[in-house]
Amino acid sequence: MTRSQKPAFRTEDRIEVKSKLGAEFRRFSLLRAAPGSVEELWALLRALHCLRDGTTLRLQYAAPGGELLPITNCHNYARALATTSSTCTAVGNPFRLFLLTDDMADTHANSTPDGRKRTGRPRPVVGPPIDFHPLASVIDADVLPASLLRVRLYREGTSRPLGFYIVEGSGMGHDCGVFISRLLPSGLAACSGLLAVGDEVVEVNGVTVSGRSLDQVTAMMVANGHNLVMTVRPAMAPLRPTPRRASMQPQRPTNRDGGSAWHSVSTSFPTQVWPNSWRATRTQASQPTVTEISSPSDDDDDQDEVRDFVLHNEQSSNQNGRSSKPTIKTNGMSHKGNFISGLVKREGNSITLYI
Amino acid sequence: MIRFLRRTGGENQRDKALKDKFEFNKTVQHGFPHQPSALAYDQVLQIMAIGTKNGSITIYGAPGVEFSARYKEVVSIMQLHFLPGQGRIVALLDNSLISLWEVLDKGGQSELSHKQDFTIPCQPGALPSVTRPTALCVSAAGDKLYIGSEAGSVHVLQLSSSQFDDVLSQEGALQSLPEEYRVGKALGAVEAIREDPRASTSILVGYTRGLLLLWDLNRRSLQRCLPGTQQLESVHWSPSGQQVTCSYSDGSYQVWSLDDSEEQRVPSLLYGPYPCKAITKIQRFITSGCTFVVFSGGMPRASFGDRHCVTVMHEHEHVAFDFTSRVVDFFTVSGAKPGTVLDEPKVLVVLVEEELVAIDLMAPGWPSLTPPYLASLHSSAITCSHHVSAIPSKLWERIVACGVQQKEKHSSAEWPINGGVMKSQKRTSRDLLLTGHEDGSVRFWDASGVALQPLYKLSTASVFVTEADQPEPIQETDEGHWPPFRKVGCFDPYSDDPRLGIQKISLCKFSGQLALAGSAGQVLLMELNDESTEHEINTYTMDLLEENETFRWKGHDRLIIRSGPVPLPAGYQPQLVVQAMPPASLTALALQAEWHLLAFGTSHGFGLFDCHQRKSVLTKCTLHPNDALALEGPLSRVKSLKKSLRQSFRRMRKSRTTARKRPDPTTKVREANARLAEQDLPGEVELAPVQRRVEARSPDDSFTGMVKCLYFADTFLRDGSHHGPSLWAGTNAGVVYAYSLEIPTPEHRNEQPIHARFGKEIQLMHRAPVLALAVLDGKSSPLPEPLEVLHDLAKSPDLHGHHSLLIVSEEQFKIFMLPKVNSKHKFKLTATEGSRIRKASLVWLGTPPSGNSAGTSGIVTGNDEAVETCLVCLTNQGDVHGYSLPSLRLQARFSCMRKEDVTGISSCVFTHAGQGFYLISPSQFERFSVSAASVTELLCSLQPREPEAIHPLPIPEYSPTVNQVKPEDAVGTKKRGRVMENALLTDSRVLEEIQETLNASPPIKVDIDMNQNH
Repeated sequence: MTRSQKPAFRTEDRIEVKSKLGAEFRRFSLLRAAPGSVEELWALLRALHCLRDGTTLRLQYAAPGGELLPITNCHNYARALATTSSTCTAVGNPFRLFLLTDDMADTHANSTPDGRKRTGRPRPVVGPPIDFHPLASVIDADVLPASLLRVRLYREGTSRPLGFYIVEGSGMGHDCGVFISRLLPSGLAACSGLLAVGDEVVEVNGVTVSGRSLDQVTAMMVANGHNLVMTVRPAMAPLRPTPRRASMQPQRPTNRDGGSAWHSVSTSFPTQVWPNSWRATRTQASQPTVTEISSPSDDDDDQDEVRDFVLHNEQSSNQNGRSSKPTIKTNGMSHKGNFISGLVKREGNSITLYI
Repeated sequence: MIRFLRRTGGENQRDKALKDKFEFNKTVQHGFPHQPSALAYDQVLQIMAIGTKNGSITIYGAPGVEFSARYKEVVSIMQLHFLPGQGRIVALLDNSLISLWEVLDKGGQSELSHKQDFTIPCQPGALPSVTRPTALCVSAAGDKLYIGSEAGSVHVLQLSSSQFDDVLSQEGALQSLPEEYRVGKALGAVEAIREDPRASTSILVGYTRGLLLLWDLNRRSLQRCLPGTQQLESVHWSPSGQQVTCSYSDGSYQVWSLDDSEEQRVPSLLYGPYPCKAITKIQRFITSGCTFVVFSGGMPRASFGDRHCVTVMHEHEHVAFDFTSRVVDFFTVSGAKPGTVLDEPKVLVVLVEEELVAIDLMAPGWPSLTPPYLASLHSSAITCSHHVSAIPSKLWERIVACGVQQKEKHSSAEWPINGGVMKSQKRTSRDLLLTGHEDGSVRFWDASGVALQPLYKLSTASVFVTEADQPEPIQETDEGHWPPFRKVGCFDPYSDDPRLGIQKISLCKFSGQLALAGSAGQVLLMELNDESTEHEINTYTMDLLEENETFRWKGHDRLIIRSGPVPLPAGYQPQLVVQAMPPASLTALALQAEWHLLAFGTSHGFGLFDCHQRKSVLTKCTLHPNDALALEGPLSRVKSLKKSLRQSFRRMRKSRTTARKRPDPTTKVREANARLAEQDLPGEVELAPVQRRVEARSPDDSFTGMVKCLYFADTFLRDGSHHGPSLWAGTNAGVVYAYSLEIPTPEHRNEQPIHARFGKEIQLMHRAPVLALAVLDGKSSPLPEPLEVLHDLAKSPDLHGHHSLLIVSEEQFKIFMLPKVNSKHKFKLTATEGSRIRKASLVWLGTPPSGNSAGTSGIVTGNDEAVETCLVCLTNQGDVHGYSLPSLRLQARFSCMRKEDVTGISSCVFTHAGQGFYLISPSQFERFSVSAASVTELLCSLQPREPEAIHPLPIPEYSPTVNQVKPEDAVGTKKRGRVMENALLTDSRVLEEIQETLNASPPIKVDIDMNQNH
């Protein structure tokens, strides 16, 4: 256990082990020929880390790929030793064990040492929420000029309306062009914090809106409503000098890192030009709700749903004379690759394929 | 990869070939001009002209001869006057402009083109009334135009030199008056000018205050004075030149005899003694011993002030023809031989605001005569239209025969206005346009030629018990009353019952069966019967809600079928009526005559009816639980057409009463103020600009359950090896339902029931309404129509290859392979362009049918290269797009109508050959063509008479091909006239030639002066 003991053993037939609980760690070694069972290892670890009997911990080891894998029974313990013994021969590259308390590793529910499922009241969840979903994201920030912002609004999975109004001409000197005129308070656009009243819409899903009427632009947005990508010219953006980077942060000037930009805007324009709602939106924008960069999945945005009803036994239904209630089975399995890749929903006696 | 490249290369070539087959033309206008305001007739050339309030002038001659032109700006045409025999016409506009139009010959085809504008010359700073023309008169020779102004002066315009050369000012007229007629007041505006029919040396000038002056132009002196006392409305100088008739604003008229200067008849108030309305126009002819008086208006103000009448009196006959809309103008066609003193009115032609009515005055009882054009399409508002091309000749003849039977009461006389020559080619196929109307009637129009001719009118109202049945017809109460009214014309905007309106039409041209779907859930299956019968009509009720108790229909009731045997005239007779419950308006209809099946859809669902066994096969409710609007019925929220029509009529009447008066200064100020207010208005609108809410479509939009289209197809629905009958239905929410049908063999058709099995349901993710469905066979050509193969008119479809399903929604086109519904091609129009599809149709482009067989013969002969199927659609932007099939590539795009023209877009209907119709006004169809091969063009020419025969000055005529003058019109003198005009219009090089011609014929020397004045 101490450094003085170490020369007494030959390194060839021992495995160097480093066990870590929180910030403190212990180093020890195991006989390569007889490492012992999991229970023996636990007893050793309790003794080394001075653990009380009642504490439940999980044991994980660092696999050669760098991932953490649990050790719960003899089987995976043996596997852990087998995979690491080849790499842990050199000094200074120990077999690394990690002792984790429950709240450190909530996701590995099955990693209690004896394999029992934990029961009892659920603990409060800390970490990313289960119902996490993206609302909006900034994309192509490194491609676009600094004055433009490409925003993607995700509507799938939410019942939230898109929730904004567009108008032709901003009333602030720009007569042509399509502008955002109003945001619904609970709408997706307002919640994303990426769009604001007065932003000029430049493109909708890659199609430029110039030369199109307001109704056409509306129809384009509605038709792309489930996956709307809008390129806007923010009413505030042109004064931001630094190039944008694709990040989790919205590209609005925030309190933290965009304070100077905010300041320069408010000094160069009289404050009363901006309506109150605009300010409210900007404040909201400084604390982005949920934004995420996600890779655009192209062309899968509108696949139609086909329900297939195929008669199971035609002859028998003919003999019965009643044809209105045939037995139904799906033949969806015969669909080709990309069509079966979707979800299969079972409702009643019919099967719906989302393709 | 190589194969892929080769394939796409081939497709590109095919697309290129297809591109050449598209060509956009707006060809002909059918129907009656909207808001006509002026009428003119040329006795010499037998043509008439109609001008409208929006500035279009159309000249009509023989059927198929039409010349149309319009002003670029919107101006109202107040008066039209032909220069007799010259093919030229003078129009008076509401902006005080007088324009001259001319029918020009361009390469064998004549066109109406604008020539010159005139205004009354005046001193700078003169009052506007000085330059405002109120009365025009063309001299009999056609060389002079007399223009009377609001200030009371008469100007003489030499048309040949376009110079004003004489003025009769009001002061001059007053000074020449005898002392006793000078009443110390101005005479008022010039109301009428007439030239002496016997000699063109004197004119008769009528002033508003009633005074008529007979003025000698040569001596510039007063010949005679006719002191009328009432406010003058119109003057007619009888062709014999002996009598002058003038009508007054109090409803009286007075006849002055010019021969016996002492005779003065008192004004007679025909419909007195109570106050009457003005007689706006009067004509009085002296026929053999009797007088023939025709006048419009003059009705007793209190009792019949709202009637629009033209009264005709001859001997003991006296009829007040009662029209349903305002009388604009009328004229009589003379049947007298030229040169005789007597005048024999043959046909009375009355232009009322909504139709043209002709009355045969030669036949006893004065029956009406059907004009071959200007049919009143909107006699009841058009609710739908349907086009069927290439009607088999047998069915065509039967329909025509039924139409002839209907017209028995009409005069059989020939249409008297037959000037000009039609040069359009004879029709190659028999095309039928069916229009459904609000009053439950369906009109059959011959749409194969340039003139849309009414063939047959079918009325479904007689089958049902309606409110209008209770009161007895009004004609009986009018009998024996004074004035002796007689209803004429077919324009009847007031529908008895809005539920009768026809919403969908489906005609099977091979079996002759016709299915009609109405506004109250009624579906009528009609069959053609050449004899009138009387039989009971069975109703079969089908509940589309499928015992769904939660829904309650709040709309109108169903129509009740007349019980007992119903007398049915020859023609289409209803065989059975299927009543959809709840009785919502029908939104989709499909008739499959081969399988004897009828499918119909409403906003609640759809049903399938077996016409052979006469029983229901299938009902399906497509309602979404949140769909509240569909349950209330159309009456609650949608403004009824009847109501809106009534309102607009009231508005029109109101505006008419104000328009009748001359604008006095106060109204002018008011108008100016109104104009200013109008100008202010847009500014206010800009302050609150239009906003559009952007919201993705949710499934609980209203009317999601509405069935938009139904389609029968023999295809592979269940598996790839067995094809069979199937029914497809598309809804407003982007759902397509497919049912496979099991139809017994013909031997067992009577006993065994038809089974319909639910096969597939496709939910389009974008949820846009499905507009059209079609199944394409293995060669990507659409399946033929029912019975088409049976009649050997189409190749049987390729049932070995893979069928594919074409779905046209409002936003996208998609092609799916069958039976596995996997997507093959798609085109997202709205997502990329923002425009939505309003109408879509499959059309066959290519060489026109050879003509020996029916219209689809091009397909029959198997000339695949010649005929290409493609998809043509109309967007909400008013554009027509053409797409190739099955690759769905945009091949052509044409701007067809304005995007604000909502009625035009919603009324558009495409034909199989790539033509289309849409309403440009409630009464007019515009015909267009997207196919280079199929164009129905107006080709006609007008040959103005020998100008020398009418007056000494030759009329300049334009002919670009002098040397190629056809032998029949190669008359020497005429040719000479043409040469001159041509030279003047082109270059001076031909001046020598002119000199030669002039030397050859000295009398035309006058011409040079005229032309130099240009």
